Amino acid sequence: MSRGRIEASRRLANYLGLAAVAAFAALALAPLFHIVGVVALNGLEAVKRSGLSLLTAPPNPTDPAHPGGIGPALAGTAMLVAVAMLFSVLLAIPAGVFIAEFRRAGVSRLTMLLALILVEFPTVLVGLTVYAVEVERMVGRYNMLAGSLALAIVVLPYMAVQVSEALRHVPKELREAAFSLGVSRLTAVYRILVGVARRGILVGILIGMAKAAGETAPLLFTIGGYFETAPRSLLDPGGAVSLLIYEYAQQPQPGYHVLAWGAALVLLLIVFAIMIVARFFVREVRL
Amino acid sequence: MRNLNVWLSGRHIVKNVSFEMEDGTVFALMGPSGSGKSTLLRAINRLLDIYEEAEVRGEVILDGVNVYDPAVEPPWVRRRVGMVFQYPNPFPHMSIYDNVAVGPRLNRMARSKKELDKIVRWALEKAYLWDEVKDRLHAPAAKLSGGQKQRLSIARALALRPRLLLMDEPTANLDPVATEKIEELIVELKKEIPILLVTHDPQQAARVADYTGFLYYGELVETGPTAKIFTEPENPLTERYLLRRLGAPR
Repeated sequence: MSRGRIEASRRLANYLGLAAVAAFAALALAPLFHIVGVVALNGLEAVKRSGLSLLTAPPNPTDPAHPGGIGPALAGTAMLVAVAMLFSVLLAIPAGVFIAEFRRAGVSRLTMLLALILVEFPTVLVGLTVYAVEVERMVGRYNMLAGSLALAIVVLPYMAVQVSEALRHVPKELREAAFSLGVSRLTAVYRILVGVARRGILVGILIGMAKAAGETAPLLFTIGGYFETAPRSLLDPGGAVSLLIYEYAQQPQPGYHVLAWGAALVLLLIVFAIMIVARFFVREVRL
Repeated sequence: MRNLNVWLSGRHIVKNVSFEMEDGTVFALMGPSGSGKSTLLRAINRLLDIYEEAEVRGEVILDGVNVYDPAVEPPWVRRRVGMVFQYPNPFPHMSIYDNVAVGPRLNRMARSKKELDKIVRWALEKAYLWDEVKDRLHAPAAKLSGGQKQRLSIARALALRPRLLLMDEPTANLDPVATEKIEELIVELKKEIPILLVTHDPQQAARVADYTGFLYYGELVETGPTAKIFTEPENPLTERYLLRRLGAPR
């Protein structure tokens, strides 16, 4: 073949290859765009009818033209996520440090294995267990604390792994520098290395928050699903945005559907907002 | 040190090394890559303890105390033996001031903020960095140049007032101007703190060291005053290494 022909066939092969890759990429992303598009379009209907009061007003599903809002459910989600994160962050950081720094100890390996298993554990089972232990035996009725506990259990293993990975990625030189200062191991880790790894840890926390905000199964048997008023204390039953979507989508009346779509849009925006903030802190976001 | 042996994951890296160092001197350790120079250094301040695959036998005696005596705890040793590494590695999330202060602070060496300020200033002055950063002590350390970062790492080690300073190829990643500054620093500093310097460059040893040792794949083949090693090496291995690295003898 002449030189020109070889060049031409190479160019063609390159072009076809790129086209194929682009096509597959588009195919892979299409469902995401589809979901976002559908939720946005339908959710905007709710926004049109209620405006900003979608976020603050109580629901009024009997009148589809003035459906009210998801205010109490949003307050519920906020309460659940705050309390769940409090529990799980307090436990995940020591757990992550333990896994990362005492790698060879048997207990540490066991912890890492358990964490990895629990990350994929069926969340509905977590909810059921919390129901059996806390709701039935300890409190006697559905309550927000139960929901927070269930969410904390769901999110904790993921964050422990994230913390341990963040610490593992601290470069050897910095680790040696920290130890060469003559402090105890615990001090070197907690006062210096955690600081070095703090971006990775923060991203882990943010993603944990996004997960907690979006989970539904752990809440099914724990918080009760009351969307009309916001819970006044952790021992009251209440609702959450994710649970509202689940409940309202199954109702026959259109007023419920409008609110469900509106809630879906709000939830999507919350998760997106958290992810964008997380992306701002770290170049690579590991899920 | 006496009869020091180190194994890493079973491989015998440092083979029966013994030598002595005196106050007020710089001892340079040179040798081909992979000879175990860095490992040897880390055996002195017990930094090898953090690696489970490292095994150490032998004695390292600092002012009469065997560092590997079971009664001695690694942090005790590391407070007295400072270390500077091959890659400038100040803690990136801390300011310049905090980087120098972190050692004394965590070891509770200063009783007041004023004392801490004095220690930081002293360390930065000895590291030839004070003039360049005195107006921005609270700026992030990450924004310094390579040479400045390395001097900051030196200041960080000095802040603990160590009894001995270990330097592992400190100028390996710096440009010639930065290298020169640090070599000046070393010659000045040795009067207060003895320095054990691992170097990849025999000419650096010739420039700054009082005594030099040649480590050849784990064995300390020859030691002696620098001038003698370079002009009349006793061991043919030493001579061959110097010839190859320096060209014809001067």
